[in-house]
Amino acid sequence: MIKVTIDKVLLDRQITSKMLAAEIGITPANLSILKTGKAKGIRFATLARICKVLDCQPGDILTYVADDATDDDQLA
Amino acid sequence: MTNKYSSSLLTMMYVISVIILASLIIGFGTLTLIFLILGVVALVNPSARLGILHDILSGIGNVNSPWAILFAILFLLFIIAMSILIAWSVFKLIQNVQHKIFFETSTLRYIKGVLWGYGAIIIWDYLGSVIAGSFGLDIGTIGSDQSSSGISLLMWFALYAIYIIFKYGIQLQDDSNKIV
Repeated sequence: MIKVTIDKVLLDRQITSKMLAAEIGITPANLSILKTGKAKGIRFATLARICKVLDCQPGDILTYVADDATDDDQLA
Repeated sequence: MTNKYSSSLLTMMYVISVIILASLIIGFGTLTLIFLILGVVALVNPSARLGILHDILSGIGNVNSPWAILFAILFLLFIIAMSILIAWSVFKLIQNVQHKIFFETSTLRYIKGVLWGYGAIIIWDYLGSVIAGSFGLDIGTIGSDQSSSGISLLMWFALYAIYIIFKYGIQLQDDSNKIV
């Protein structure tokens, strides 16, 4: 699964979630969905705006984490 | 999406559904009250019992058993109760469409209400005719025509398919809403 690690970058840049949401043009609720891992996906346009505001790369806020062993067996 | 013609049609459907729902509720309440009063009179006044039984028996069929009367009453009340469930679900569905509430869990719940009500009527109607047959009870006036059972079943299947499609549609919308 893809994990969103935006909190660390926000902390480094001294930007609040509310400010980021306003800058990239999404609601704080949607940003919360992204941060809490409940999002099913992210649009490239949204990702580009986040990276522009936070001055970072997609890899700085997106991390691949291996699923559980049972999930891998199911996929196979 | 809904033009003026659709809006007028929806308003007409809304009014008719309200009238039908109100009629069913009043009918159910009235019948329940009448049967309760008859029951109380039959219990309290033994001399009136034979008269009540005779009046009801002559309307239903050639039976001698009070249990058959009780069954017929419960049969009728259950059918009306399920009809109220269907009418209320349809009324709420039309209300949702008027307020442009489409792919929400409430809409799915009302479709499920229609499904349950219609399915219960089909099953109860079938069971009722089987049980009535063993009593020699003629429920032709309150039961449905047996030749339409196949069509009723097909309509239920169609409604179930629509319910599944709707459920999938809501799931797709939820997933879409979670794409940021």
